Amino acid sequence: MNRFNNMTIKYSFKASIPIMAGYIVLGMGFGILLESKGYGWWWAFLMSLFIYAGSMQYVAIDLLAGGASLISTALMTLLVNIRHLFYGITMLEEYKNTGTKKPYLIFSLTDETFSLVCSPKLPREVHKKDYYFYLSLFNQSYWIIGSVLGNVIGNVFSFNSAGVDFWCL
Amino acid sequence: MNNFTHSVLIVAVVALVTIGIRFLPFVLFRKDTPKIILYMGKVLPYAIMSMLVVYTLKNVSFIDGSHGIPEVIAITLVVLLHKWKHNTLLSILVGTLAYMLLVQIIF
Repeated sequence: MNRFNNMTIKYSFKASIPIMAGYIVLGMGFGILLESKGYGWWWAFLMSLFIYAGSMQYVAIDLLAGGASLISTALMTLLVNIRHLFYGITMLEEYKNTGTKKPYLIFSLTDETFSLVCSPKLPREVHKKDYYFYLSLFNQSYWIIGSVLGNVIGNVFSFNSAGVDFWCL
Repeated sequence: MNNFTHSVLIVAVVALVTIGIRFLPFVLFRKDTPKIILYMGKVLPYAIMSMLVVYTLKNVSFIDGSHGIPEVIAITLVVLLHKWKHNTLLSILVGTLAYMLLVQIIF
């Protein structure tokens, strides 16, 4: 069972590599932007930990900077993130029988994670439900790392990221 | 209410609403999932992916500027490469890099 798990973790990591680049870059963008509005790395960390929704976190920076009302905030979030409802519907069956991992699986279902859990053609040795879990975990860790890194580096670092922004829908 | 408290509340509201949206289907359909929902679960990925492609390209003008050429080239590259190698990682990386190069240097 231990060897099984190792294979699954390795496979999940490999599968998450395309997401790594995007999440770290976009996470950094978020962290940098957040810092420019005067919010420190712990804000970046906590937002990426508890919200974990790329485009909405970018919108949240504007809401924070502008001191938006809580009602507008709630409405904005509903509008921007409503697509996640459909991701959940799609994964209703697949996320059954995932035990204690289920709440985290549901929580971490982002656009990119969704596209990877949607139609996996897994090798025999890889445990599907564990794959979902480790993949989700890796993806969120990239996002958090990117956010904090970007925030810490602040506006010292800048590069031409034109063309990557299609990731941020 | 000071600025700090207000900010904390904004973050909390965003987090809670997002969590609510994500968990809603699983709470609503905890017992037996209705057949229509199961059907949606099967076809939604295709519908969503297609819609995401449309959404990504919606602001691309085929008349002005770069005439959508970098996008078309990048997309064609991704499709051909994926049909050839079936490697998700490769397709995403090459497509993204190609598009970035095209958009930043060539066009």
